[in-house]
Amino acid sequence: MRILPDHTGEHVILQMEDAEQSIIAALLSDVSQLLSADLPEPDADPFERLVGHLDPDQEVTRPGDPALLRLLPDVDSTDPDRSAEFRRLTERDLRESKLHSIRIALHSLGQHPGPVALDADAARAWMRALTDVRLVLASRLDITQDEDVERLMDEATDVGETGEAVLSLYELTTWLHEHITQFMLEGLPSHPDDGIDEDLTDLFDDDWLDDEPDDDEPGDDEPDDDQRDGPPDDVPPDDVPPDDAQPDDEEEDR
Amino acid sequence: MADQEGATAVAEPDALSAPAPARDLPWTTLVLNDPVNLMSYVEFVFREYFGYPRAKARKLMLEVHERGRSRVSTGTREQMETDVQAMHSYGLWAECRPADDGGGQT
Repeated sequence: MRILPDHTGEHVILQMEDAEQSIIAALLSDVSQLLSADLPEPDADPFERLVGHLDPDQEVTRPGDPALLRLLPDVDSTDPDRSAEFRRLTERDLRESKLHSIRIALHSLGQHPGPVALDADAARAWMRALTDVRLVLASRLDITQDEDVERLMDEATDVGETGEAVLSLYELTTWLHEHITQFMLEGLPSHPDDGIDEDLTDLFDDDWLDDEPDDDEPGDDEPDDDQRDGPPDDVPPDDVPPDDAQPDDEEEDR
Repeated sequence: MADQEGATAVAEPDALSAPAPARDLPWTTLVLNDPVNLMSYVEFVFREYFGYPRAKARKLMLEVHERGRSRVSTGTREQMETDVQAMHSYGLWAECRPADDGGGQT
């Protein structure tokens, strides 16, 4: 998989193998199913839905699945009553907004084989949808602390075959998310105050900051330095075919 | 970093330019750290949704990352609940708390 901006800079292009597209689509569909469980039919009478929305007796149960709870968190974990009330009023909208992002992402994948071009709106939907995918995968992997990912990577043999497969999906979606985000960050309009007080960030070790793309590397004379090669690596052959098409892609670009 | 903030804290108060006291804005949106959301994405959300300048967005993002939480907005309960729901739709872990709850830093 590779990600690169198009020549206008207005789209981000995802070059994915068919198998990678299928995997991402399957992950998105899984989260979609998780989020649509117990939702009323989309074509239910709008009036009924509105009434249901306002009906104080209609219970909205707090998710028992930790992954779903992470997608639909409490508004105040120290106040169960207020959280239940907030959930009753807002959870359905939140689910539907998440499902909407997933639908946009699936739609862009389903268009036709070949590179997937995302405009800014589609890229926004992808960022949200991939976040939810990653939150669910992380929950399944029992990632609860910042150190857990590193630990899982170090002891990959201990997580079992399934764990390794899930971990590789987590890494794949993380990589994809990171690069779409980078593209979108570069496209954000600058704030009038940008450039002022920037030294605030110098207080922190640069390691805390994101991995900025090394576009500014003076020594980097690659013409396509915006183009990022995708996770080389740890996706087991069972899930993603080996990256043997990479050299071909390089040639096509010339 | 702590030294720098201490220095800020003892700076002379300026009644005209100081932000409104917390008691006038009784609710706050807390964003909590999680091991999943990328720092670049959290910065993106703070810039896109709140319209914060880059430096402020990064500062809040680093606060979330290093201290586990950050107050990212303050206002009426209704406004803060709107912000929390927006954060949830981005996939960030956020809660709405009374501002005097001690749930974050100033």
